[in-house]
Amino acid sequence: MKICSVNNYTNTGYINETLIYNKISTLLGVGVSDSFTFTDLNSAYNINKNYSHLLIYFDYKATSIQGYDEFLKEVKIPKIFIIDTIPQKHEEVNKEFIDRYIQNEIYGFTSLPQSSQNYLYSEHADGLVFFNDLDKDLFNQFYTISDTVPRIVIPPSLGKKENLKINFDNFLPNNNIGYNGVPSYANGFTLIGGLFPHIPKYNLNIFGTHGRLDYNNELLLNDILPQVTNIKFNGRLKNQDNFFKSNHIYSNLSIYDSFDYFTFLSLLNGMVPLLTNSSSTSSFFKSYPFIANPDPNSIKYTLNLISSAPPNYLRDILNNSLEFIKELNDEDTLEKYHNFLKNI
Amino acid sequence: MNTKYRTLGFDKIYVINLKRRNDRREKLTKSNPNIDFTFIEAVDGQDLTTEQLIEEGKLHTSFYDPSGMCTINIFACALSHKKAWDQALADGVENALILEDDIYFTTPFIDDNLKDLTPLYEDILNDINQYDWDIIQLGKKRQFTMGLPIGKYFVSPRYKSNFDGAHAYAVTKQTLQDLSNKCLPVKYAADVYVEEFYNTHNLFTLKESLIRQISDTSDPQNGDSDTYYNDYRIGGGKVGISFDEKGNVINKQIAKYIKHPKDILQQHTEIVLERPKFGIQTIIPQSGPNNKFFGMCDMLSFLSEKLSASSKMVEINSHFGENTFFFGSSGLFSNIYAIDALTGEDKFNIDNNITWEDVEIGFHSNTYFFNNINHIKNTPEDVVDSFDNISFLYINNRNGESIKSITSSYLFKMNQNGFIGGNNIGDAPKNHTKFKDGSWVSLIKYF
Repeated sequence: MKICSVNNYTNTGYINETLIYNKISTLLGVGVSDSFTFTDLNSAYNINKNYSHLLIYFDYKATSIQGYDEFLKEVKIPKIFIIDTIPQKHEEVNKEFIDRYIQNEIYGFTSLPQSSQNYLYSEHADGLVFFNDLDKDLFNQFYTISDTVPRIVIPPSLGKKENLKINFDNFLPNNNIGYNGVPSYANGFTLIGGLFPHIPKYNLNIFGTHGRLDYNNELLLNDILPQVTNIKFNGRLKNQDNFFKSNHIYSNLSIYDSFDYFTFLSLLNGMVPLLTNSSSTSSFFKSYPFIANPDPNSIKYTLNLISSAPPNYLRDILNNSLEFIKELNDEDTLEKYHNFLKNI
Repeated sequence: MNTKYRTLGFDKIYVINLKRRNDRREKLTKSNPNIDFTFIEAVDGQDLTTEQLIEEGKLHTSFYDPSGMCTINIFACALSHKKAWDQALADGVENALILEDDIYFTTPFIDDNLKDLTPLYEDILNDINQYDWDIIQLGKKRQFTMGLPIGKYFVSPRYKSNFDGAHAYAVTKQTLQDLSNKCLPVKYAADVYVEEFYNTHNLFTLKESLIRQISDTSDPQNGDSDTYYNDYRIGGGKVGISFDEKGNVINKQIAKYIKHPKDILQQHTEIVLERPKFGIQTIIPQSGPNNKFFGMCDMLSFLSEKLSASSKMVEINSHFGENTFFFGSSGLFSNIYAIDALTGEDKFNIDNNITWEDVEIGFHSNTYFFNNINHIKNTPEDVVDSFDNISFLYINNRNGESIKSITSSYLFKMNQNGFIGGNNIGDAPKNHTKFKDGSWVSLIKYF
């Protein structure tokens, strides 16, 4: 089995997408020379000759089907779409944001039209990989793809079994909260904007870049930041060690997400994740007490729970949660991929 | 007092300045007597040719620009910035402010009486130094820049929103190295290249530009810019801009063609600086008489004496449409059906780094003038039933494959006095007429 991949991640500023892409590629032995782009149609013939399976990472922020369809038509080996998130769900969430906060239809949603997405999947997908059960269900709601196309949930892995331990060297309870990702409505930033003026003892250090919905995210952060002094946007995170050492709590207050890789990294590095039950990421944290409803009061309450918990108790909670996410190890994930792909 | 006030808080200030523009150097120095500038002699476009730069590995054969513009001085400017980065690295600075020589400060950065930074500028520096920056831009061509807010004064600009202007930016040592390492062969103008670092580095821009370029705030007709306006005027409006609004190449001394004209819309136009790989190259004279040209003319002249007026023809594997152009130009045919599936592995395409999309664009470029040419994107066998009474079937056989199945299926669709021809003499039946370029025609009765 020799696997290659193709992607249209033209904006390499994406944080979560890049982390996951790199992780899956490394795990499956997809090197730089095995990674292709849709712009070089002739590489399709190289793919046909030299590989057994093609993984497709498709950034929905595309404006035309042309090029993608042409490329995929030429590929004759099994094509597996890695569904890193559900575009139509993002459109729904974005509409909610516009209706509630912007009330201006010009702040639209840029993506390939649903019919074109549906066409690409129908015509070309020989297999679909999701990162969580919710996305698998949502996919079936939004797209009409034949049941005969095999589907599987394989979350990205976090590391080798033996290495999945929490590094408590960084564990130093304080009021600093960290976040690394995209400051978007889907990632809970209206909740953050509403909450932080009322909890001045906490500081939120945001790291990140614009993300897929750049206009709206820019608008949102420019609206929030001038009104609060305890939130700071820092740009791209360059020093992860400092981040894990100086921030005690990791904030993932998503209204909708698929798999926030940095939430898991923060846990492994001794931070305490603060989660919302609306995020798919939280579904991996079983019996975890710091999962709030996506509303400011519940988040404030959960935050205070973390702050008031004795350090030893927090350590135990983190260790317990680790037991549940140990299934996201490299060895088991690799086996899942191999079993899935060899039957396609 | 800021100990580095004479270099505006940075280790050194490098100013890119053409040797022949001593006037700018003097003006900048005189108007800023308390600032220490280190001048870098700019690479002068007047001393360069595109071919020389490509040969030396300094310029890529494809140049990318958001608006599809390139000039020799834009290449020279990019090389000048690299020279400044390399000088800063050689000087061992921790950071450097890179300026172009035609800038001015919209507000004072130095209080000449106190011999110190002004409170506003000091506050700006203190503010941004709280952040882990790699590149900070103190001025752009536009007055205001939007983005994610970084402190009081800066933004992280949206990707692809911040191309214009590399006349005032500070860079850390590590990023100077990164900029220098990835610069050659030049593929972007200096400002576009710096913008690319948004994807991997912390690039922050002042919300309001405090360092501007003189040419940006003056009437474009009088603007003094060595990368653009000056050449544009000297060239009577035809030098400096490479393409007009329709994508036609104006300045062929530099740019040969735009790879995909639609890319202008995506702000990523690939401007090819070498001879086209596709298009009508087979009918462009290389050296001496062009047998391809004469062979095709002789064939059409031969057919003009044999075929009746308003004949219909089919061309198989029309590819870029070089021959189709001739068929259209001849006026012999009422309908020309050019058939090409535009799909599948093709040795010629791969060997020449051509894609089917290139082929489709090339065909359109060569034939759009003719209303009687129909481009049919399908296999010849699949569409054969659509035709009747064909007078001429021409088969391009680039890859030397057997044409038997095509000829046998199309024979029934041709009129009795029709002809079959092709570019590969190996396909011709015993009785045929051969032309200078190895192409041939034969009456269908010989098949």
